[in-house]
Order: sequence, then structure tokens, then C-alpha cells
Amino acid sequence: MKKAKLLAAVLSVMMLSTIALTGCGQKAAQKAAPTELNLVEASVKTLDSAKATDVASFDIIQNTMETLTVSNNDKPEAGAAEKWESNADGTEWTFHLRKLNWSDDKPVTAKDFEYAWKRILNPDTKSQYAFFLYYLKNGEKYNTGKCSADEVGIKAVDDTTLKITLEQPTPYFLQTTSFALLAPQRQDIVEAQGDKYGALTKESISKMVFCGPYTLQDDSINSKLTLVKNPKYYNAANIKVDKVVLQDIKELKTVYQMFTNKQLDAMGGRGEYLDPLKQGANEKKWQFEQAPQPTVFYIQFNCTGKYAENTKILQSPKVRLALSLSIDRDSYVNQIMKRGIPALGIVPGTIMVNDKEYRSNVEEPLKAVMNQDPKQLFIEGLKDLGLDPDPAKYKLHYLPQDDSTDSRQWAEFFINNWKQKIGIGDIVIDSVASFDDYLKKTSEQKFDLAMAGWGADYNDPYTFIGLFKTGDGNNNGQYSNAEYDNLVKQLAIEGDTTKRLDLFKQAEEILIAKDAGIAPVFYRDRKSFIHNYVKGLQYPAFGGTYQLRYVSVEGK
Amino acid sequence: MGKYILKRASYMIFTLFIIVTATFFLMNAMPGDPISQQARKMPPEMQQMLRHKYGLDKPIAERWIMYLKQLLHGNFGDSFVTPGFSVNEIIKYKMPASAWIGIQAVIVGLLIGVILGIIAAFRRNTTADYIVMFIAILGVSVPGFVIAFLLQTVLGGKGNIPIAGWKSASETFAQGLRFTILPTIALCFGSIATYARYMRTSVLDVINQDYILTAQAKGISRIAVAVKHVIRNAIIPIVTILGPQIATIITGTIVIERIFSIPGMGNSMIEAINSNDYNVILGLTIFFSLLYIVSLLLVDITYSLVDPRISLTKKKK
Repeated sequence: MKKAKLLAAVLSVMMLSTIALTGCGQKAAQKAAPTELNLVEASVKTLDSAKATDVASFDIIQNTMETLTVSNNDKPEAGAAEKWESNADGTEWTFHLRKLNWSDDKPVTAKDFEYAWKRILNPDTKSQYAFFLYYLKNGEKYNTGKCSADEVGIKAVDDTTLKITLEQPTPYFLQTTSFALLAPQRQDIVEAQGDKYGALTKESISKMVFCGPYTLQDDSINSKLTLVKNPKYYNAANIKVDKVVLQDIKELKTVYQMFTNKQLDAMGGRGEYLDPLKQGANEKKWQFEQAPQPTVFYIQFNCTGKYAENTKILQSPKVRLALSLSIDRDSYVNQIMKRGIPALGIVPGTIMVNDKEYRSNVEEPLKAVMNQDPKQLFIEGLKDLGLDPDPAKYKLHYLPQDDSTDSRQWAEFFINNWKQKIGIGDIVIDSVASFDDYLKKTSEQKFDLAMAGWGADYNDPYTFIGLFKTGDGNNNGQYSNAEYDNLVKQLAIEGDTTKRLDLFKQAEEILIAKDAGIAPVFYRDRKSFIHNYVKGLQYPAFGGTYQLRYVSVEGK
Repeated sequence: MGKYILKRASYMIFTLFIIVTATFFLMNAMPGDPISQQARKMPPEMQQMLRHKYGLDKPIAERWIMYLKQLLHGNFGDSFVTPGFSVNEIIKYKMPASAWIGIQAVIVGLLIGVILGIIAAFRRNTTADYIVMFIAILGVSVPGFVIAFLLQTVLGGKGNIPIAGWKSASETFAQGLRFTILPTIALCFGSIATYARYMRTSVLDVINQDYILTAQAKGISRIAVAVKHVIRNAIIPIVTILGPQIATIITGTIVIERIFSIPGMGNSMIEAINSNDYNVILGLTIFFSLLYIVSLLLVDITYSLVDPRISLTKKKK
């Protein structure tokens, strides 16, 4: 009996304490600051801007550090630099820093930028984003160990003047200066911590210094981070939210529940939750925002002629165009995937050429050729190659990006399109074990048709157009066209907006319509649901997830 | 006893060696490596340089020997994906959350399960018995993640019970307890059912033994018989299933941690596998295996303590 009593006692104490303690928690929560924002963020890997590669890490850096410029609605505005000027061809830039301090009261100097940028290029840092700074004079040479750090085109002339020399005119250079990768770093702090700099541990965080609108509370762990307003930020008066809690919540169902309970203030919508979320937005329970993202998905054709029994038919531009035209992009996006925007070109909607939005100036090239009959085109292509013109006699292989049921379902949709509209004999879905397996197979040209995606590295069409030049490491179909290569070569150095627009237009036309080197499928989009009391929450198209400089919470 | 433990320890080391080797080679047989996904926008020569720096360009046999050497020094290596973090640190930082949920689930599951089983046995064929058995069937047949989502829908967000999340490092144990309520229930629900069913059968078994009749004949009170004779003897089968149940809890935490966004080792394991973070995969596999093997040993030792008839070593005649 004693034992049973003991058990009962232990149990009741446990239950009572649970109830009592949850009660305590409630009181603590009520005392919390009124302007708090709760958002979802993937697990953060590092706070070291030179070593970060993921959106979540860049997000924290972007909101705790001040880059030369900062992005406001995807346009660069004065940040750590108050003003700047460049020479006529845009190869030399001078930035003048404003007076701003690190969280330990030391001033942010031009030297901190020079140190940070050179550290990214230093081969010993092993930065995976080093290629991003190859536009600096001797950037690539230094990164590959062919010259010294002193020869790199970035120099602190004095504490507030930063001089940057570029390898060649780089029209999108200014846009990139708001990217979190290029945040300043303090040499003394980085070197004191060595390999531990930027790690998400209490010890490392407490030794970090920040110069942005928020600082990271040192009790943060990589799946739950607390940003608190930085009272020493130069523009602190205009930062309206005191505390931002970012949590890594992987299950969409959980996210949805927390959002509807207002434990989260915003969420991204997809899958089965899209309909109820849109319904809620219609009822004005929250706001709905949709915007294109600078990522495109496309089908690449193996242009080498060597893989499977009929790979060689893909060498005909007519065959490729026929396959491209047969894809019912609207049904695919609206009924199968329930996300994205149909793509009839390779450059997504947000991309700019200097100050002009590319897509509003250049029509998507596939639109002009949409009226052609794919089956007829396919047969003509076969005849051009001197082959049997019966489409039913040919078999191709399709490589999905992974082994998920989604990928399979998407593949079957395309195959249906091709069989119905062209009457092609058979299309087999090749097996792929994982995304890594997919990368390996595509880089070895072990496919006929393969789905692929590409996210912009910077805000200029060159990030997409440059991909398909002959010999590019990510041109996995080994598409090659001399005329196209020539245009790409001109684009690499042309600075004039009108000329660039025209050159891009010509190149895109060749790639998508005339020569059909690839078949675009859809642009990624963002569907965000934000509670009504949150105003001014920005989702930058480049870099981190959120821009928290302009957000406010009113009347939660 | 000491000799027995020593013998078991040597088996354990051998088992671990097999596990490490199998995991190492299977992992390397998967396409890609830690560099391939992350650095695919880099020029190929730079990718090669990175591989060289991390020693990934060496032959697999050489890397295996290097890894074993490193292990002997108690060093699990560094994470490729999370710069500045060693695997030892990941374990150090992630284990408390996993251990908290896990231990709480084992204790709560055991207590509630055993008590329910006893009630059901002593009140057999009454409403109480039927209710317990109904819960037991439910618990065995409904997977933990379904219970987890149900709990989130029904209880989450009410009375300050969070739907998901974890305490901040600065919050105290007491403040953090509210985060553990739902995951603990979800994790131990299946165990409660198993324990209750085993306990009920076992108690019924013991009640029908002759020595119980003897005890009753001697005039010992019903309660004293129940505690001293019935429960003490009936608990032995529970100990035997404790080992496998602990394994269920360990694997269960991987799913439960994901659903409730708990910063534990299960979550890290999934992330490491997705990003081919070799050292983290190996380190956590070894850690999980060690945990399981040691808990099996402890269970075996407990046998001999609760039941003197079971002897771990052959007695000399």
C-alpha cells in the first residue's frame, strides 16, 4: 500500500506542478513587451556572413548588420554608406560612410568592410559564396591563390571612405551591396574567436558585435532566435518593433495552427492550407500577398546526343520547341502544383536592368510562337535529322529532381502532355535516389529531359542568361549556340540600359523560341499571409527572408 | 556480475564498430557529398579545393581509418554545414531537450501504464477494466504523430499550452515545462497502452498462483497481498519490455521533435541526413546506438535485481 500511495503521490504532485507552472508561464507572457513579432524561420546555421550560404542565416545577418546599402522594396537605399559615386564606366566606386557604431560603441569604419570582403575571398576562409565577389578586381585570382590580398580591388582610403575597383563594368554592382554576405566585420572580434566566430552558441553570440537595427539575444539557439532592438543603431528612432522571435517550425500543420491562434504573425501558404488561408483573407481576418520570386524552373534538354536510344532527336531545335510548346503550363501551375506563375521566358518578373524592370519591357519569347502545332513541328524536326518521321517510334527518358511522389506526379503530367499533343511513343521516368543523385546525373548528362531550377544570385537578367553559354558549369544539357555566346559576351561588359535590354531580348529569344535550348515551366512565387495588425513587413526577393527595418505592429 | 558487465561491454564495442562501419560505407554510397549541394554555384576547381581541404578527395578506406582514429580520441569531428560547431557540441547543446522529453515520457508512461494495468486487473470485467483496455487498444493502434496532431488541435493554444516550440535558454525549467506537456503525452501514449496491457495480464497471472492463495489463507489483508505479493511479482514482465520501449521512445522523439519544433537531436539528425553532413550523421548514429545498447544492458541488470531466479552468470555447481 505504501508503494501505491507513493506512486499516487508522485503522480498527483507532477500533475499539480504542471498545472501550477503553466499558470506561472502565463503571467510571465502577459508582462512581455507590447511590440513583439513572431515569425517562422528555418534553422540558422551561422552568424558569420562570410560562411553563410542559406536564407535563414542571411536573414539574421541582414537585420543585425548594416550593409553599404540596405534594400527597401528591393531597391538599394543608403545604409552604412551615406552617399556614393562612380566613374563613367562604373568600374570604380567610392562609398562615404555615415557615422554609426558597433554595439560595443566602436565606430564602423571602411576598414571593417575591406576586411570582411577580403575575408570572403581568402581561400583559407573556405567561403562557398566567394565566387560572388569575382567582380572585384583580382577577386578570382586572390580566391584561387594566384595573387595577394593587397591586389584586390577594395581599399579603405580613410575611416569613412571606401574605394572599390571592379574587374569590368558590372551593371548590377550597386544592387548587390545590400546583400547580407557583404556586411562589415570586425577583425579583432573575428580573429579572437577563430573558427568559433558566428556559431550559434551562447558563448559565441555574447562575443559578437552588431551594427544593424537589431541585436541577437545571446540565449538564442539555431531554431529559436530572439532579435531585440539595438538602442545604439543610428536610426533606432525609426525602428518600431522591440523584439522579434524567429522560430524553426517544420510542420506546415503546426505553422497553420500557430498562425490562426496568433502565436505567429505571418506565414507562407501552400498545399492544402492555401484554400483555408485564402478564405480567411477574403473574410479580412488577415492580409494576403502574392509576389513573383527570382527563381525559374525549366526542363533542360540533353543536347549532346549521347545518353539513351533516342537522345539524338533532341539535337533538333524543332523537336525541342515542340516539346516546350506541348507543356500545358497553366494547368500545371494552377491545378497540379498550386503555386508558381507560368513561365514563357527564362527571366522572372522581379528582375531589373538597372532601373527598368526587365519583364515589363520585354515580352516573354514563347508567346510569339505559341500558335505552332507541336506535332507538325516535331515531325519536321525528325525529317531535318533524316530520321523516320513517325513520333510513335521514339522513346525518351525524363529525370525528376528527387524520388518524392510530388516529383513523380509532376513528371506524369508532362508525359501526358507530350503523348497527347505530339503522340510520342514513350517517355520513361528515370529513377533518382535523392537531390544529390539528381545533381550527379545531370552533371554527367545522364538524362534526355530533366527538370531544373535556378535562383538569381543578383538582380540582373545575366544571372539567368549567362547560365546557358557554352561550357558553363551549370549548363547541364550542354546547350551551345555561337550567336547566343556572342550576345552573352557583349552583355558581360555592356553598361547602357537600353542596349542591355535589347541584347537580353535577343538572347532570350534564341534560348527560348528560335533555338529552344530549354523549355521554361514556371517562376516561383511567394504567397504570404500576414495578420492585419502587422504593417510594412517586407520579404526581399534577394538575401534573407524578412526585411525588419520598416515593420510595425499596431493594435494586436 | 563485474565479469558479466565487462563481457557485455566488449560485445558493445564490437556492435558499435559494426554500426560505425556500416553507416560510414552506406552513407558514402549515397550520391553526393557535403560539398555537392551547397557549392554547386562555385567553379569546379574551387569545389575541388574545398573537397581537398575537408579531406573528401581521399580514398574511402583511408577516410574510414582516419575516422576510427579520431573516434578513439573521443572526437566526432566537425559539422560541414554548421560552421564552428563540432559534433560533440551539437550533442552537448541538443541532448538536453531530447533527454528531457525522453525521460519524462518514460517515467510518465511507466507510472500511468502500470497503474492502469493494476486497476484493470483488480477490477477485471468491470467498466474500469473496459475503459483501460479501450485506451490500450487506442494507444497501440494510433501512431504517435497522429496523437501529436490531435493534441495540437484540441489542447494547443489553450490555457497557455503552446502548440509547438521550446523554452529560451534564459527561461527556467519551470517556465519551460509547459512546452513539454503535449510532446510528452504524444510520445508516451503508445507506451502507456503497452505497459497497461502487459501489467494487466501479468497481474492476472500472479493472482492465480498458489502462493497467493496461501497468503490469503494466512489471513493477510487484501491490500498487503496485492502490494507485497502480486505487484512485486507481476512487475517483472514490464522490465523485459522496458528495453524495446526505450528504443521506441528514442525513435519516436525524431518525429515528435519535428512536429513540436523541439531543438533536439532528432531534428539535427534529419537535417544532417538531408544535407549529407557526414560527421553529424555518424556522430548522432553512434550516440543513438550507444544509448540503446546501454539501456539494454541496464534492463538486463535490472532483471536480476527484481527476480532472484534470473542469474546473469552461470553459477558454478
